[in-house]
Amino acid sequence: MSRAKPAKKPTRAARAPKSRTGLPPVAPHALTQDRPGTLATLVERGRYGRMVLARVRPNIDLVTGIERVCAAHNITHAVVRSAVGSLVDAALGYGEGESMTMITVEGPGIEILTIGGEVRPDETGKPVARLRGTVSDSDANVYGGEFVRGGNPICITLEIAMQEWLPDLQASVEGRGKN
Amino acid sequence: MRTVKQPGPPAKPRLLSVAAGNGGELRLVLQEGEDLLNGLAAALGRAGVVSAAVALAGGRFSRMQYLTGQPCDDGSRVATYGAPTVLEGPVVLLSGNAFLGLDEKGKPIVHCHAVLVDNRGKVHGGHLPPGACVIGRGGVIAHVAAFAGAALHVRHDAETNYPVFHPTVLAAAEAAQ
Repeated sequence: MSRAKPAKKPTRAARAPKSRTGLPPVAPHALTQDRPGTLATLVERGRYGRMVLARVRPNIDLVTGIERVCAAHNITHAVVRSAVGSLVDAALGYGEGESMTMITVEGPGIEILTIGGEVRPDETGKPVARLRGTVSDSDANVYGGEFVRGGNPICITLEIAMQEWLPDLQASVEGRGKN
Repeated sequence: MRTVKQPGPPAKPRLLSVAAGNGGELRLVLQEGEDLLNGLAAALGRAGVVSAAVALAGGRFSRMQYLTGQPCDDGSRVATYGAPTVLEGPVVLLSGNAFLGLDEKGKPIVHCHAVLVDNRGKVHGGHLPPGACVIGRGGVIAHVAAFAGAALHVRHDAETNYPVFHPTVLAAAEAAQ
């Protein structure tokens, strides 16, 4: 039911913006950057804002669909509060860098079991979703990984609740050392 | 990306969304012996919650069932559920997501998917049906974000030929119920 595919290089490189505080630059997805020994804990204070309830219809990609929902509500930062749905096929990535692997779980009728993740703006302010989770196939096998952009078409429906995250204007960095 | 032809014509818009107000945050511990979906709907009903997003944070079942999807051969739908997988406990609930909303008759209904590990250590997961998942020792923990002014309503979806949750803005009278 599944087959391994060669790794795809990430198409969206996270470039660090210039720091305004003299502190280390804050990349959009700093915690996933491979900089051993140089990362400090990134502390972003803020509060939760609006909740958006959505249904994504069939054949729309999971990742870009969620980004479009956020964009429609002018939301650039958000977290997934809950998500239930199904996929035609699932494309899940695991590993990192050159050893990144993508598996395809073939449906239709792949159940989305869990989705965790967040939406953050790219350099142009456009909302970008990074979503990880688990799915099950028709033989009740469970797979996990990062939902690959453009590879996860909705089958019957996706119900999702996203909550806006409103960061304070300036991120701060707490502590130093190896993460 | 592979797409599939649904039995009905594509409905528009392809993305449906509404902004919901904060109807309160709750933490529930559903108790041993209760059915997960029915217990969740009943507890939230007693708390005055009409519709909500639920994150299941963990727990245990004494026995339970789940369903997984498969292609539907008769052409009436793209996918359907297979026979349930029945697990004898203790089954550990690793994580799960659910929504509380209203069915076509206005009664509470929960849609829930979860990841589980059986008593031999095998990981499972799928759609949890109501009336078939008996909570075990220690209960099940649920974190709930209730919606204000908006809800999920089940409506028949002609495109997929399934009753499906749709986000809706509640009229003031409905929201007050």
